Amino acid sequence: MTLSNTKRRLVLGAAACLVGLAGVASPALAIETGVGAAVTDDTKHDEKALGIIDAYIETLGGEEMIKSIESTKIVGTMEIPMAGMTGQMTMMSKVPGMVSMTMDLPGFGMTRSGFDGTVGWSSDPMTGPRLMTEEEVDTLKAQADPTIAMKYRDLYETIEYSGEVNFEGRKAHKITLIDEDGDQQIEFFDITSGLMVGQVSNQETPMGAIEVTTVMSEYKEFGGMQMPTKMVTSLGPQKMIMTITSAEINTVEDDAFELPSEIKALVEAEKDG
Amino acid sequence: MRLNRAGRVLAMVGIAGAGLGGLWACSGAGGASAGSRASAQGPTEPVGEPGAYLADFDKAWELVRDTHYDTGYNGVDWDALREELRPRAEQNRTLSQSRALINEMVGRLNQSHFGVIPEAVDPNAIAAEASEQDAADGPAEVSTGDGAGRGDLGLTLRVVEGRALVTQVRPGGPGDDAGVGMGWVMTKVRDRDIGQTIASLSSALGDDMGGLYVKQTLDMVMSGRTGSTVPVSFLDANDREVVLELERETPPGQMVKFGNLPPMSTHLTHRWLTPEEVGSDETRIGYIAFNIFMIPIMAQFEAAMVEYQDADGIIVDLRGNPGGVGAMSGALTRFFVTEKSNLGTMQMRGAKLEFNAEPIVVTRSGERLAPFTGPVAMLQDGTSASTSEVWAGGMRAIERAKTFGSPSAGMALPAAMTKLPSGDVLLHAIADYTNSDGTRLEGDGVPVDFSVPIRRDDLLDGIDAPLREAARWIVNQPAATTQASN
Repeated sequence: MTLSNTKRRLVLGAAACLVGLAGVASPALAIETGVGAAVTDDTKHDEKALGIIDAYIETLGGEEMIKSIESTKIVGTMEIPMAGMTGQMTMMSKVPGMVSMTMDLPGFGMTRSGFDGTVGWSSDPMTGPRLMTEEEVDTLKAQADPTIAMKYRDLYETIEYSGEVNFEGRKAHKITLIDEDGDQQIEFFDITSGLMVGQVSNQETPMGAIEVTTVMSEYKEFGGMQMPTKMVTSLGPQKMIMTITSAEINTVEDDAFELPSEIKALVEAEKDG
Repeated sequence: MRLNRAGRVLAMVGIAGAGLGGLWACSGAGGASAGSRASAQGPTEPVGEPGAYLADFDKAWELVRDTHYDTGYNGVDWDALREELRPRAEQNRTLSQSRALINEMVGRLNQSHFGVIPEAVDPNAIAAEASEQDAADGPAEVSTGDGAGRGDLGLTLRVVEGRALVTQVRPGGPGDDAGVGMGWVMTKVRDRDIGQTIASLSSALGDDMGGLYVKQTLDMVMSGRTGSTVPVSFLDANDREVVLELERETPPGQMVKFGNLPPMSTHLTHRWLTPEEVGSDETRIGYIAFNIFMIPIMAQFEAAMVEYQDADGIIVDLRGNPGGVGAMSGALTRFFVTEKSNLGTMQMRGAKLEFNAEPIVVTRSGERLAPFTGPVAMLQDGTSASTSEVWAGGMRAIERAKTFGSPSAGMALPAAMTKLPSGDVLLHAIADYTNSDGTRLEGDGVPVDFSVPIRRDDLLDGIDAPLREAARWIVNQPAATTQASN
């Protein structure tokens, strides 16, 4: 996997990672994603932008604290107002890069997905068992890294300070992250708190590349780390509201990420061609 | 939170409801609609102060303003329309008046998938509208909108040459038990003259009598409280008048509640066609029909595909299917493609989603299942709408299926279902849809590769002509011949 590929997949900021996949911080993951191979060159980045990012990391809980997290379990709700649907979700992550997620939407059923360190997969009542594409797995692994913001210097060709803006009714610093392919990700940091409050990113999905806007709010402390407990994700005119109701740090065991039987069968079938 | 998951979930469920509006409320095609009937609440409806439901009007207007995929609103001056209609909204004192006005407003867009879905779709209210006499039978035991109290006669009707022909008789249903045959003409349901109903619809809809609205109206005329009886008059095969007392039954299927949509019954049937239907002893054809694109269908469809993996051909019947969860079109296509395929594109304001399908490898229980590579025929008509069109049009565009029957409804705008302050739901299109070959489905619908008109003589002979033509086509396919000879 090339560094450029990694950059393209790093569509989430650390705050989002902390909520969704917090705790997957390890040298192994860094090597796996190629992050560790990069050479830091602060001269190509905007100094003010770097300062804002560093302050953000400190506000989240600090670099050492973030690195001390080995696993997370997050429980919450998800709501899609334009469909009238509300469901439950549980997300777990554990070093080195294991991920498990379940979402239960009434009328749709249980959607599960995960990465056990080797296989990225999903299974839902509509599509059935499915292996993720390499790009999706890359996204998953990268998003599982709460130390992402610490690696921005290496991952992006350019980090620009794009000025002070009004974002969702609050004053925010706008920072533009540009990778070596010219792809952009925009992040917004609250001027007062220093926390990330928004993000505009491009994501790879089975239904093509999509631009998603996320607004983060209502940060709360869990195990010494600040996490946004409300995230509103917009895809075109549609919105999904995710609310975190509880979070546990360093309580998840490895067996939580074991592949379901149908996924094991799928892996075997793929091996056989 | 993994935002890519959030995006995917939005992609999967956010387009749900496409095509279902016609079941409760569609004002886009003009004329009498199921929605206008469903919105009637009767003389006991509460009367409020003038403007009591102004918030619904304002919210509906804002939703269309903010989410319609076309910022030109299909040529309608949306701001001016608000100025024109809002004074009436300020005077409206009942929910029925409010619903009618909102339907009039979104009706000006002249597009599918716009309309008010009443908060509680009461089957008794619908039945009462269809047949006042039935209302006198008393309320159903269940009338809270869960759909459990609504029964039917097990008959499918289509208007052909101005008459309501029985085109399908559900085996073991009330009509079947009473001896009703295909090709019979329904003339009366209690005191309602079906001929007059058809004439009334024709004056509103013109020649478009094969579509979803007509079907829904006739369905409602026949529907009523489960267990209630109703005298129904027919012309039999010899054109003699036959009056039968039919007892309505709850149609088969699994009730499902999906988001803001009212409860719906989902039902899939599948079987091997008989040698008589196929016209050959050597060709084996699997037949699958389902009434709506809702999630419970997926497991049943998969089970059918497991059974038909060695078939010489498969026929999928989408007649009467109004659509549902749009992304199911891609999920169903998995059973029929050997490489990643694109059915089409859903274009929203500021975002687009590709309806992609990857070949199936294993079933949901982990059993290996190869995609079916034989010939696929899809039956459709003017009552095949929305996701039915997305799927049939997409399968046709990637040259994976042929279509038989008549053109589909042309009602294919992916829609959302948003609650209004009163508790009603506004169905509103948020996207346009085009096939991978660039053809747009809204308006024109999916054309047929083999046009097969409905003829009474065929029906009286027990022949489902589109099904027969599809079977004949499969029999004549080289692949089918090869498989059959093996």
